[in-house]
Amino acid sequence: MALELKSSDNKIFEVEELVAVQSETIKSLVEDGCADNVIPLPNVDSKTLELVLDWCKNHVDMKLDEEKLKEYEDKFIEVDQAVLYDLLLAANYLNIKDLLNRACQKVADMLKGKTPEQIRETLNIVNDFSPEEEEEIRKENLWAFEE
Amino acid sequence: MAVESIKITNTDTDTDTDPDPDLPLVLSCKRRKEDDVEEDPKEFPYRKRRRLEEEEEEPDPDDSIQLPEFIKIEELPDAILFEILYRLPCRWALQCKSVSKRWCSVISHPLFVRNAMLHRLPFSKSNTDPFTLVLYHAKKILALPFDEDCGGVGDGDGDGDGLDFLNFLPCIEFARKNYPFCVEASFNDLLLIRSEVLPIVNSGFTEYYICNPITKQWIILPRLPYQGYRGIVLVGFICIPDSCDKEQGCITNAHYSYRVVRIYSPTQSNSTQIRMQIFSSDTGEWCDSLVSSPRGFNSLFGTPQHAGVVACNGVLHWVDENDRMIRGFVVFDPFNNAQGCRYIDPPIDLSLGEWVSFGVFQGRLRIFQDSSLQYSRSFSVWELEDYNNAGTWCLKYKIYFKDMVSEYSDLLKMAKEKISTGSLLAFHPNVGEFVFLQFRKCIVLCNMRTRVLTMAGRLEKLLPCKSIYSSNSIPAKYVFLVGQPSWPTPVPLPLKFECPSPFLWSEFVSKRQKQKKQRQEVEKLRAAPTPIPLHV
Repeated sequence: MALELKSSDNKIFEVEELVAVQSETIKSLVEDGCADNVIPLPNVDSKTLELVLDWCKNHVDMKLDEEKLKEYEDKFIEVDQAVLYDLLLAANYLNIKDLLNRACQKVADMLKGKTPEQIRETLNIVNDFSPEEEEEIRKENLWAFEE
Repeated sequence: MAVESIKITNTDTDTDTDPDPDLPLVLSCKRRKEDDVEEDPKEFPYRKRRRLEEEEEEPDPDDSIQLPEFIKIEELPDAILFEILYRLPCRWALQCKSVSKRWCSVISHPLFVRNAMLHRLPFSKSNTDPFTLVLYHAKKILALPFDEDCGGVGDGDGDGDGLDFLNFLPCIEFARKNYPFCVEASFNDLLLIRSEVLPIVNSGFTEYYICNPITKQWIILPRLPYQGYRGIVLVGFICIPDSCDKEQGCITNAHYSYRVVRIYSPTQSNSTQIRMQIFSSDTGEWCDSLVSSPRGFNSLFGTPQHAGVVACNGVLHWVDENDRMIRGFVVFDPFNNAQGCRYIDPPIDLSLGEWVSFGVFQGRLRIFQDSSLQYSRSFSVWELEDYNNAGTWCLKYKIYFKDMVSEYSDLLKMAKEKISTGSLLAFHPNVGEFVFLQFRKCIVLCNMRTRVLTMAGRLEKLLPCKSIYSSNSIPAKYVFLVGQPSWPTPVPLPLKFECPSPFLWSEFVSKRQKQKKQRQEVEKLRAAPTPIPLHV
């Protein structure tokens, strides 16, 4: 059975139910019987939705081939930060656990190895600690800051 | 309002249109924003602005369309930031606490550590879990980290006595000055250290430290008065997760109870009771106990003394021997000590008169019998199966020294020699078929399935005696496997008791100098007679 999904920029995607229900959000809509018409997804633009659906389709197709799936996932997640951000939000909104997991892991890997100063610089985060507060945190977890 | 603060940092990066209010399923991230920690820019008068040397434009707060992706990650709801951050290795996650108050609160969330550990669980217990092999001998320590399942050939870092490994403990100064000091036990990534201050400037005391060598946290248990006890005392250390966590089945390392047990050797064989001093983290006190057992207790001299106390399945075990024959294993539950001790018989095919050591492999008790002095020259390993019911011993490996193979010719030579070699240091924590043996001054990793020997470390630093025939063997009880879990175990903060402040070497020295001075004054007064006042 096919479902119709509408992105925020009003593009319609037709997908197999089996693919679409990788999203827990869509799955519960289907189970509640609300999926007869087009399902609007106002928080996901067409570019992102296309990527997400590609992910879902491949997870259905390659379900039994773990190695191939891992290769696909590794290649899939090599995207720009902006796209990664959109994927994260879409995966969260659509509740696609493995995509969320992979995307979060990717961001974590990007953060790993950076000092707090570097992280603030890269992500343009405001440091709202006073120098004393920051020193307190460093002291409490001294071993983590060493080396 | 959160939306307002976002305006300061970016005007309109969101190309998403507003969610349709009529739609039932709106899980928009913007909605979630209201739960975020408010970042009112008025409260934070200073805002660090960094020059991005690579970018040509200067980061202008009102016009951030040039840096959309950076801002976007900060716009993520806390729930997603949580999901990202707990996937970081512990060290980096803790550093991220100082990024901003929001990040700090996400990382300090009570479920953070739990999620971090659960997330890594499928990957743990693999062959490559890191651990540190810590060996203690005559006030010297050798700490060898193993990052992969075989580790490198290590001989420890830097200084001669290896005590730098525990440099963060206040008692190390006393140890360096040759005061009684000993690494007594380990549990996961915690170590139990004993230090004694002799009654010179005060009445003297024995103190136990529980420490985590990775985080360098420590606490001192309430001091025991110095006893100068010359008999044998075995010490056990065991932790269990708090009962609430056991029920939920969740893994959190912050809430646990622990016991430190001092077991005094009975002076006669077949004693009905054994004296113990037990420290309970629940009461915060030491408590003297007399514990009984269905069978008699014997002196701890000999094998029991060298085998030490092993924690397994939430209870403590030690060897019972009489007349140089192994009688069995005493089992004691320090969390329910009213029940007294019970007993595990040795394996039927164990040679009762031979040297035995024991350890634990992944929750199963193992016996190592060294028969290298016998004609057959072998060693055997039994494992206790079905612990909760009667428990049966199963002979897992029997290795003959003559069958050993190795790329290292000197190891092979030692294996073929008739002198006792191959005493147990420890069972490898991750791989059942690996065992660490001591061949003279070498730490050897033996694969009990393939009989292949590899070099795992050198003991010259611990056993500096020049003679190659010196037979100092390090008993298994002084070999500690300090784990490196994905999240280090916090050393319990003293809740129910007042942690004594450390008695520092500098204090000791100054007190001693003061006493010396006082004594000198008294001597002077005695030597020089007081002049008799002249009566005018």
